[in-house]
This record gives sequence, C-alpha cells and structure tokens, in this order.
Amino acid sequence: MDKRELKELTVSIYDKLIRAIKEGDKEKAGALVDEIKRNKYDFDNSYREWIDMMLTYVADRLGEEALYEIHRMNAERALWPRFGWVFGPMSVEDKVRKRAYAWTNWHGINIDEIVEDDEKFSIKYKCPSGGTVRMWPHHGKTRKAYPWSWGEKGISYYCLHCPIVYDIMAIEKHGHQPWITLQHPEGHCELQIYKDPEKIPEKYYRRVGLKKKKKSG
Amino acid sequence: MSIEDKVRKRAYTWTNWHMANIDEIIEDDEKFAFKLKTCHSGGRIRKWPNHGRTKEAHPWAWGQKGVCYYCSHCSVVLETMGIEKAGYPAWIAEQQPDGGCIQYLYKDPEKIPEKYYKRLGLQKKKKSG
Repeated sequence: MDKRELKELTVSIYDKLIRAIKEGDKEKAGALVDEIKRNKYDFDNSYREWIDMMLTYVADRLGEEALYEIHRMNAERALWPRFGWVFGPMSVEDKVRKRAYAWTNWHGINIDEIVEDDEKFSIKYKCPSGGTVRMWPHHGKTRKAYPWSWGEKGISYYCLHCPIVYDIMAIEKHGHQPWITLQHPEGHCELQIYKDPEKIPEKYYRRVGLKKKKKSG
Repeated sequence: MSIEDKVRKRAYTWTNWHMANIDEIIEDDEKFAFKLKTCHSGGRIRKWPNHGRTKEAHPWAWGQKGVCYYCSHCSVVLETMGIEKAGYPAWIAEQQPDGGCIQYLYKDPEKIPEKYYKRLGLQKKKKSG
C-alpha cells in the first residue's frame, strides 16, 4: 500500500476534526462531528451490551444478590470518584450545572428539558445509559422486587446502579440522595435535584428500604 | 474483501471508533503491523496498578498467566473464535510492555505462523490438495 495512505490511516477522527477546523472546511468538520456522535453511541453501546451480558451471567450463576455487591464495588472504584462532587460545598445551581454537564458533555446528549419549581430542578431526557438498555427486547432485569431495585421487579440490571449508588450508598454516606431518579416509558428518565435535601419526600427513602432521618433540634 | 480494505477497516476502528491515533502501520512482504504505544482498550487497563488478570495459564489467554481479563477478549474472540469460524485468526495480537500492542494482519492467512495457533491450544490445519 502507498506509504502516505498508511500514514493517513493512523490519524484519529479528533485530529481529523481539528485539521478540518484549522483549514476552515466547515462541511467536513460538521460531517466529522456527526460521525463522532454516531460512533460514540455505537462504541458506548458495545460496552453496555458487554456489561448487561456480564451482569446477567453473574445473576444467573451467583444469584441476583451478587449484583448489589458488584454495583457497590463499581461505585467506589468508578462512580464516586467522578460524581462525589455532588456532596461538596456547592450551590444547588452549580449542582444543576454540573449534573447537566455530565449529560451534555460527558454522555454527549441533549437534555430534553430542565424545569425548576419551588422545591427542585427536574432534568428530563432520554437516557442514553440505562434507558438504551431498557429498550432492548432482551436484557437482564430483576426477577424479584428488592430494596436496591426501588422495590420493583423488572428493573434492568444495568439501571440498578442508580438505586444502589445514588440512593442507598448516598444515604449511607451523606444522609440523602444527590438526586432522585424516576424512570419513564420508552427509555426516558427524570432526575430531580432538591434545593433543600430535607424536602426530599419520605417515599424516596422507603422505596429503597430506608427511613428518612428527622432533623434533630 | 481485499487485504488493503481490511487494513483500512481495521485502522478505522482504532481512529474513528476508539478515536485514537495509531502510532504506525508498517507493511512488509507478509503482513501489516499496527503499532500502538498504548492500546486504548486493554492497554490502559494493563497500566492500572490493580486489575483482574489470569491466575493460571489458559489456552484462551495465549497460554500465559497474568493476562489481563479484559484483554483476553482478543485471544478468545479474534483468535480462538476467528479460527473456529474462519479457520484462521482475524489478526494476531502481541502485547508489548507499558500497555503497548502490535496487531498483525497477514496478507495470506496461510502464512500465519503455527506458533500463533499453538499458543491457543490449537493446531493449524494444513491446506489440502
């Protein structure tokens, strides 16, 4: 093969994009951005398929209870280092900004809507993470209702990281959830960030088998 | 598909799907070698101080102990399953120090050395006729 072609074949799509921008080729840059979007989704999906398959394999052989342990281990290793900021000293507005950023600039999707009311912010979106998995005709889902599946049967094994990490572990560590996850049909989800964690309704503690502690004094 | 198109498609998966630069693609008479100083897939994991790796030497981990569990997808899928499905490995992976990897795409699968079958506990079938 021609050596110049072999050299060109080594260039990443990001570097091709930077080159197109520097050359002022807007059409090519736009096409590369579209390709990055498509390929990132497919790339992430390939890992979601792998994770779903492994979680299903584990549940089938070790029992679904093993999933609770795996998600907790993953939380300590991968999720809290990336999302621990949510319990740091920060205004609720900055929390909303950072949480939105995680969807738009890390997952790389558009959020459908962010709605504010007196008590909370609601972030509404089609979840590219577990929402994608929930739309597959075949995927692992809980055969029983567990506290760590929001007390519901049929929760995707992949989605369990939300109740286990952001509900149960967060309450253990900080006394409240950073946000409340509400699953909606067709892979949609809503995250509710309460302005005052004290205002988080008791039902969101009960669904994970926990009690909301009353503020002393 | 021609070998040139296989090289183009294999390169594409690194550059446009993993979105990483390939350090070099070298051609010789027998093969193309893709050199990655750090494989953006398992190579990164191999650089983590703690990660799962084989405690014994298994044929599905190139007959070696200490192969990163994640990396074993290369030997299981692209080599062992490649041989099962097509009679030869899709490409050959040779892990390098510090997370590096070289992948060889042979122009003629018949020229793939027997050692790459043996390390998987398999035998290279002789071409009949």
